[in-house]
Amino acid sequence: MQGRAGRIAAWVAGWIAGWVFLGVLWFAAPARPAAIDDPYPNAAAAYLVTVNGALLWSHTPDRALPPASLTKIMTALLLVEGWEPEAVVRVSPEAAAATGSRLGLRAGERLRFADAFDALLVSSANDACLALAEHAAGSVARFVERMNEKATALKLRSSVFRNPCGLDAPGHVSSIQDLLVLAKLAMQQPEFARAVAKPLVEIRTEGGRSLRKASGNLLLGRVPGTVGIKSGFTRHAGKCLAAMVRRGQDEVVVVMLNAPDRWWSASILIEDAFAALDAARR
Amino acid sequence: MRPIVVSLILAFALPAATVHSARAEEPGNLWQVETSMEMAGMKMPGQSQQVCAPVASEGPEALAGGDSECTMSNVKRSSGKFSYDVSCPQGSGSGEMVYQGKDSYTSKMTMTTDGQTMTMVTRGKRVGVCDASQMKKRVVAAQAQADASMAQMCDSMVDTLMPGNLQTYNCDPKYKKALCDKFGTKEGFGIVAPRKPMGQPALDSGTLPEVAKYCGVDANALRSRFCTDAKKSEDLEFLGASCPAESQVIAQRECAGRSFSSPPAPKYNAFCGTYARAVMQTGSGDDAPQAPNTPSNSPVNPAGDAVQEGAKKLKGLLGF
Repeated sequence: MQGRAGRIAAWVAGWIAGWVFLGVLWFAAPARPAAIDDPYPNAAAAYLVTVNGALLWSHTPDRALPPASLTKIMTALLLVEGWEPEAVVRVSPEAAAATGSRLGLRAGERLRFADAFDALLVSSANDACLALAEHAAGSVARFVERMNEKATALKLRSSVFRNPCGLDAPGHVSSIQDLLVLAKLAMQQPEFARAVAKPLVEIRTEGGRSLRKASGNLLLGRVPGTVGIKSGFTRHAGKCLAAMVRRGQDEVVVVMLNAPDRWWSASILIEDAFAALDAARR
Repeated sequence: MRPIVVSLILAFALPAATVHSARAEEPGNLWQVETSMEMAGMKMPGQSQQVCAPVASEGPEALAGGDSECTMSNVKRSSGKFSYDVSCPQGSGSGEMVYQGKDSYTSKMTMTTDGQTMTMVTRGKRVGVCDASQMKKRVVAAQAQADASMAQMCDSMVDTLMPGNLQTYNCDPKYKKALCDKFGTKEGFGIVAPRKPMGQPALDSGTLPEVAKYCGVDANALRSRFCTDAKKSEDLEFLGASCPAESQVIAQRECAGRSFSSPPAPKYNAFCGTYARAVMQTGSGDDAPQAPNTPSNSPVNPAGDAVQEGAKKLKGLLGF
């Protein structure tokens, strides 16, 4: 009789033990909330992914880090405000001496504003960057002042600019959150969107010299739907990227700072974000 | 664990009831019994049930099941209050049961097992009278249900290859054989091999070293056999999930060693996507998660919890 009672109890015990087991499984799941919002913590020092404007994943979104050439998104935004495509930009000795990524402009050369703008964004040319900053503001220093004024106006809390091109400099920082604001604003400007979609830049100086350089954005033409926008690299900033991909009516934006394997990582984030969107609709 | 829990239930959830319940037309008291349990800092949902107890019996002493592995000792009683020690093979503890008049009681039992303290609290209230002999039918029905429930539980543990729980539930030895037979297959090995220790004994019993030990087989030999076969047949999904050494070699050759502008051959797309995800998640390809089930021609394969959890989040954010 007692054995029978024991079996009843065993059934009850099984029920309880089942809850125990489920409880153990639940509590054993490592860092569940963090994993939901940040499933790829080693993808970059900071990254974010938005889907149709909604923040899907992020890692240290407000951390101030060197943004490398993603700085040029801000530079381009200011240049669009004074858009004068046929204006002639003169290349100063300082601009011609720019380091890092260059188009190969020579001191004294003259080129169309729109061509320099394409070189700035497509090949991340620092010589074109400095030439344009000097052209737009009279001096690089004055242009940087305008960049910081714009940052304040846009309420970018983590961004301080020391130069227009993204070269490493003490205190030259931004965050992926701020860069997202800039990227979205910039992509609304037709001149900007047109430039960052180009796979290569081909220009001719007033002197007749032809210059040609491929886009630094390797996602273009490789990840379906990529429409821009900008990559960057410096020793301190590491590999950086802002990318926008549109498929049908849907849009995914990825911003990464210091992402060791930015292209592979970005392509995975993009594909997973679209997959999540598809799954959400099912 | 089961005998302990059974004893706890015997002592408290079914007070003065089932052990004498099969007598013909025996007068009984109908008790409403509320039971709650706490273990490892977790509170289990409470249970409520009605129990028909023979009027004649009372207290925990008469309740220890004759076939239980647990024994009660040092039972003391004084005016409706019982205290006792209980000893089971897996642990020991003590308890107290207090009757508040004839119509209600409270009891509390604390036991330590496997280094964890389990506390069970029961409150009983007499809500009427009943025929205790009716319990016999319930016992038979519950017995069948208990057997089926246990069998189902043991089956599920074979399916999930968690031997720790087979032991926990004292499953029949045939389940051990079934589990080990399954583990000896490529499919079974593929389930166990990717598991990582989580610091929970019940779950960690399902990791490769533990399952191999339980089944008395050499995990390395098994891995070598299956991974060699998978390498020959280019089963990238299996290699990615279960063969870290082979995966590293392939990843360096076909994925990580290549620039983005020189992508891997299409057949490595899924494998490289899985590898890259593992690097992004853990900082190392050694922890490559299970590969996607269906290969794809896209540069990478969306897979895993990130997508599913992301989908749930987007549903909320975008209002699908």
